[in-house]
Amino acid sequence: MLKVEHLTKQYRNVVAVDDISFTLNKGDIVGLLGPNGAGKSTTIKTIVGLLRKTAGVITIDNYPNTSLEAKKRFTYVPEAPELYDMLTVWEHLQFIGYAYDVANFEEKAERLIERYDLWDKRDILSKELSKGMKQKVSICCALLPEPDLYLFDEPMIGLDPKSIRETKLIFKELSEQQKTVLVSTHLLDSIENLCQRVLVMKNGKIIVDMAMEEMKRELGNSENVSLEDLFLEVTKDE
Amino acid sequence: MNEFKLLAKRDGWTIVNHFLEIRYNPKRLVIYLLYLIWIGSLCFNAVLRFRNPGEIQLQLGPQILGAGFLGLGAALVLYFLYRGTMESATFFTMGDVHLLFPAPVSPKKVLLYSMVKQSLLYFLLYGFVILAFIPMITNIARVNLQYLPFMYLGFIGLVLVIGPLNFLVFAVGSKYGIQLRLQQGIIALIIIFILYLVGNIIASGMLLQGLLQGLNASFLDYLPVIGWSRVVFMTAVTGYSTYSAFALGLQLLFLICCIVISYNTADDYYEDTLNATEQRSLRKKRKAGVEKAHSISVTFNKRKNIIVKKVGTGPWAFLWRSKVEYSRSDLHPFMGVWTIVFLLAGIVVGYFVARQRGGIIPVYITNGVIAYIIFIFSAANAGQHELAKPYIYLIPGSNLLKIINSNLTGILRMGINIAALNIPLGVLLHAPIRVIVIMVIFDVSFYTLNLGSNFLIRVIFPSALDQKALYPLFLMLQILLLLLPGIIVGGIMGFVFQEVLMAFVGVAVVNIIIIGVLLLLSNVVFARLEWK
Ligand SMILES: Nc1ncnc2c1ncn2[C@@H]1O[C@H](COP(=O)(O)OP(=O)(O)O)[C@@H](O)[C@H]1O
Ligand SMILES: [Mg+2]
Repeated sequence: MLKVEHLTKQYRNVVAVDDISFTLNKGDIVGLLGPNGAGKSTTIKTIVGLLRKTAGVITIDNYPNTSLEAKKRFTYVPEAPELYDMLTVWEHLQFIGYAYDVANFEEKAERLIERYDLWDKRDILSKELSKGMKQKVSICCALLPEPDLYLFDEPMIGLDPKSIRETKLIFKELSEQQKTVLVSTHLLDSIENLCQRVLVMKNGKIIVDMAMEEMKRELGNSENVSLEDLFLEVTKDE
Repeated sequence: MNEFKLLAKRDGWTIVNHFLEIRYNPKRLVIYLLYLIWIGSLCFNAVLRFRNPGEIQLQLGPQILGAGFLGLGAALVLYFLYRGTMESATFFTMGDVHLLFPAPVSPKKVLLYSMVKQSLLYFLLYGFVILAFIPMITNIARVNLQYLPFMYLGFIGLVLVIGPLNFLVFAVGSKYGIQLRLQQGIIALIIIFILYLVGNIIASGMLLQGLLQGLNASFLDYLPVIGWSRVVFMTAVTGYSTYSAFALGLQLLFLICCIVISYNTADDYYEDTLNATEQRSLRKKRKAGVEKAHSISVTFNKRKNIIVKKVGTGPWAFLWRSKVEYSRSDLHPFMGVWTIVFLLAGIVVGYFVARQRGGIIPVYITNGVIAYIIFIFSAANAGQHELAKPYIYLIPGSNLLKIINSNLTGILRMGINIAALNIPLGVLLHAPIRVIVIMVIFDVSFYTLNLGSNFLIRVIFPSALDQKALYPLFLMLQILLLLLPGIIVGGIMGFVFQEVLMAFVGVAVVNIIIIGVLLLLSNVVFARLEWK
């Protein structure tokens, strides 16, 4: 589904992503973890095509990531979503519906805004929404086209407990539908029972790429090793 | 769906929502109405001027106008060309970045649509800008009403090419990896232009004369963009010739070429516009009075460790912080690039004025103008950045001290800059020392005037919505309230003592009194301040 080979991304004088490679297969739900500044957002933005890769190849279903064919196959939730100030919530969904050519989007959009408690906000201008509500709209926009690949950059930040629960549920459903998800997050327990696999980044490199089970086996063996323990263990400085 | 249709739909909704917003929030109408009145008064003023043309319309009028247009136009175009080697122009919003860019739409078509849209929008909006200048223009030179549209087209022709040109320079530069080469070329152009002006000044031996001659040279009319638009612009003053229409055609052709070439070179420009788009969205929020400006302008960004000794605790931390910020971003905590600029300006102006006629009046004029500029520029964001952060509310200590400490370094720097200007100026023009001292105090008092008063605005209009909507109005009101007392007292003093210097003393003293009162009020004001 998603294939990243020897990806390097350099800002003017910072190497933010340093020669990383990984592959996501159909049906994979993968957590992208790492301390602040590890390069998670940069990786995702480069896959999305907002940033140019300095070196490497990214393909989605064998199409180069910036091609239209590739873009039809994924959606993206940015880490601090900004919307069109002067469009209403419903118009955002309409816009996405048109942009991605979503078949009978109205029905799907209605279902989504109902799930995220945005029904009574549907005719409100986005500039009057709070941060958390904008985040919800952005998630709805990403879910609406029902693509094969979802790229989420810290989607839970700013969400209320109910929306977090809803998002987790949706991840589960996506997994059942054999969709592919790459989600960067710091809320480790929120993905602990969801992701079959984690990528841990640090200083622009992938230092761990393992199935969750394997990782637990390797590092703790005991029943009550949490993802948090594992994370702190692998990312600690020598 | 077709890209153009998609984008047109989006813009259609946006326009409708703007109208709906007025209906739900009629307060906005008041602002629009005030803007309308303002524009109306400008038109009215312009028409009046046409009826009774200026008393003494200078022989030099057309020359001044032509030179001014070309000088400003050249500065503008060269500046944006230069910026184009480092940062792209943007035609987008953050909404585009997050919703449109990741979507399966052709980046080329998005760019084309956005560029054309911006051009059309500017075409309409900038009409008001030129309207605002018309009284001034008709004051300088006689304008032929019949060719007024040419004046507008000349001006707008220049404005419209700037964005696409900026974008194109960046796109070409980064696509072929020749940013450095382009940058050198543009710097060479700038140097040639400056040398040309300096040569003219030296040749004629007089500053203004030389500038006028240099900028009015007729071969400049054939310069791409700048020259062409000048020809079109000046048609309303100097009369129509076939070259006017030809230049207009060339200008239009150039704009179309810029857009077409951009369309063809740009397929991977998303990253290039990211930074500029973010900046623009921040600026927009700032204008609306929500987010506040950086505390200081950044000329350098020194990476090395800055060591500043502890100044004290509590409110004194603000003094320490501002010293650190200035040390990092400028040459020295108390002196900067501007000090050098002011110093040079003092020497140059002093030298030429001394050669021409000398006397002390130019010192007064220079400082009057500078005080005005300083005041206007500091009005918008003085102290606001500090209020936008929570620290000034949280750090324990006297509010008076907090305000003073967070501004002391800035005031001191301004004093040094003004002194750097006035000392050479005063020496070259043989001004007595007391004049120089009073000038420095006078200018600094204008800089400081705004610092205390911006706190007040927040108390008087605590609601964010009110602030956002009526912000420009507050600013105007504030300017009036702060400036008037000084000007009145200064005028009386000048009249009574029959000496210009006393007018300056009067203004400075009144300003200082106002500053003092505002500072003393700070405790009362702070009790009512809210952090947003
Ligand atoms: N626009 C930028 N310019 C320069 N450096 C950047 C920029 N954006 C991010 N970085 C740097 O790239 C590195 C990775 O950042 P990011 O991908 O945002 O990390 P994460 O999302 O994992 O917290 C950091 O060291 C950050 O400072
Ligand atoms: Mg991040």
